[in-house]
Amino acid sequence: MSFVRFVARRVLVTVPAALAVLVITFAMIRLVPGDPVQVIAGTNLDPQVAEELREQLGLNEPLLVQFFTYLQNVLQGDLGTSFLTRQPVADIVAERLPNTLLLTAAGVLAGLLLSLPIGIASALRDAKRRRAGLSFTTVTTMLVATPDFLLATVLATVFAVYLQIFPVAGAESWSSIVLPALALGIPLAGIQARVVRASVLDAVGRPFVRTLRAVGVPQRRLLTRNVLPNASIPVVTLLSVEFGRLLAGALIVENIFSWPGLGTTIFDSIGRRDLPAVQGEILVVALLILGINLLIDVVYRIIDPRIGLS
Amino acid sequence: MTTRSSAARRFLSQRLTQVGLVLLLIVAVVTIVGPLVYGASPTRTHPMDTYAGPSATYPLGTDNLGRDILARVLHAGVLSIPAGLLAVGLGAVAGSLLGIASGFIGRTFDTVVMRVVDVLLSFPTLLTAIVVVAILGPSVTSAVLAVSIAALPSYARVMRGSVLPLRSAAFIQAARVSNTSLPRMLRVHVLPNVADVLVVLLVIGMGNGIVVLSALSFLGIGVQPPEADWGVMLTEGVRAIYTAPVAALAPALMLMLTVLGINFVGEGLGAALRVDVSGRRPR
Repeated sequence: MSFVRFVARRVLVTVPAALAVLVITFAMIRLVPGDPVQVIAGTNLDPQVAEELREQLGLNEPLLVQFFTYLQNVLQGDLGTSFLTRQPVADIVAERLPNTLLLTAAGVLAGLLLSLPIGIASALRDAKRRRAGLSFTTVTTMLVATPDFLLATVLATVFAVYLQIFPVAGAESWSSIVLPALALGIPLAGIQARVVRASVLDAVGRPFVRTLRAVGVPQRRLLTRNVLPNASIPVVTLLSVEFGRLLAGALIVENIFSWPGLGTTIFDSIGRRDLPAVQGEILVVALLILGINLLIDVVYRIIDPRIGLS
Repeated sequence: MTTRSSAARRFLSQRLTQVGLVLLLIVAVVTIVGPLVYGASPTRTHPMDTYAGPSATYPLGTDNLGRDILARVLHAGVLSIPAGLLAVGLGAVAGSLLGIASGFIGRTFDTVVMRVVDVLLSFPTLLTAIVVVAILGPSVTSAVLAVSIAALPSYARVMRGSVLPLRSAAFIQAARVSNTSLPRMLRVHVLPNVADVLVVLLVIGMGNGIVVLSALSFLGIGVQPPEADWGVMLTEGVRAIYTAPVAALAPALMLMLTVLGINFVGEGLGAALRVDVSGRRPR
């Protein structure tokens, strides 16, 4: 299948999912038990203000008209207005999302830095017997199973409160990102190390690698030139699968370290029932996950042209 | 029965399972026996003793309102664990039924259900749960409902996959021809064949359920104070992490023990029953 066709088909799969996301965020305000206006603004509201809000949310129109207005607004970058701060939701997102993405990227980086050495070392050691040692299984299971926000709490207590190496809150210096990034990266490293190990083992066992080794290519060169490039695909695939979870993890972990990202506002908006804000914020997060998955799929098709559509 | 007992032997002989069972035993003793043995009130405030360090009177110290942290941790488990299990149980039952129905009925129904499931599965369970809570409003009930809805699609997907190959199996065809009723067919022919996968998935899912539920409470949109599960305690603890780190550490460690125990046991079960859940782990 040609590259263009691959991309076109991959985009076609994403469009219905994106539409579904739009329908769900559209429905969010309308599915609220009771009158949306009263839920958002409270019950003892000046009837005139209530009517204005109803008008602003477009709740008086027929449902289908409402939906198309919503679509039109979103396409023009208008995500609505926060009821509490009166700020356009698009501005809130634009201000906060970059921080969340930075944290997510740092988490991915931490995960890679931890999992690559562990996975490669474990694979090279076990290349002969081909069975994971008990310690490897135990450690990776522990890492995978440890929820990021608990890890964040423990890291904050140990490194910020007792040892005072890293700050516990804010984003003033580069060192502020270390602890939250580790909290995200360590559980990721658990799964990743398994994938790295399996794919390195697989690559090491290929006939061409055995041949190269037999003719005397040094181990280091073999690893960097032949084994790792072949083992990188599953690692990239995993990142695509895990990105959404990582982003959601970042939203939570932010709350522990007072990281000024989207996560510290989103839950506040939910708690205060600022539905217009929640709607816009969730829409962006969900579309972002779909977009990044699409992007990664396209990128690894470029890395490895053998990949088709499964 | 030999296969069952040998699977049980494989299960129990693994170090991973043994560690997991010990962890769960500790958690069970702490949350079930703990509140009975340790009589201090989890809600009574001691305004003179706020942020007290560990002492004979307060083994783990006190929090911002002078409440006994040990008593609170013990009682919070009584809320955290059953609520998490209930949520996952609900989601698993609904999801499995949907998946089995989808696989059995096939055609347009199957296509539509699986498309929806696919879309839901491309998002982390936490995000789905957040959307549900955002709609219903923050409370324990909506948090439990949110977690079960978020867990539903992964069960639907796996159960459908396990049922599909059965559809064309000879014994199912035979049962169909002999006019077996649908409930009987499910009970006698289908469920025993998918039980292994379901059990493993259920155990691992419980860990995830307890975590997501605590995460919602931690974020202030699950259990609402003055009621406290481990998630609520964590929020209150993190706010005062410099003055009384134990208040944050204690619930975090209890949650971790619980989740690790469940995951070790689940992983051991998977190995013993030869079910590979690595790609279907609900997250």
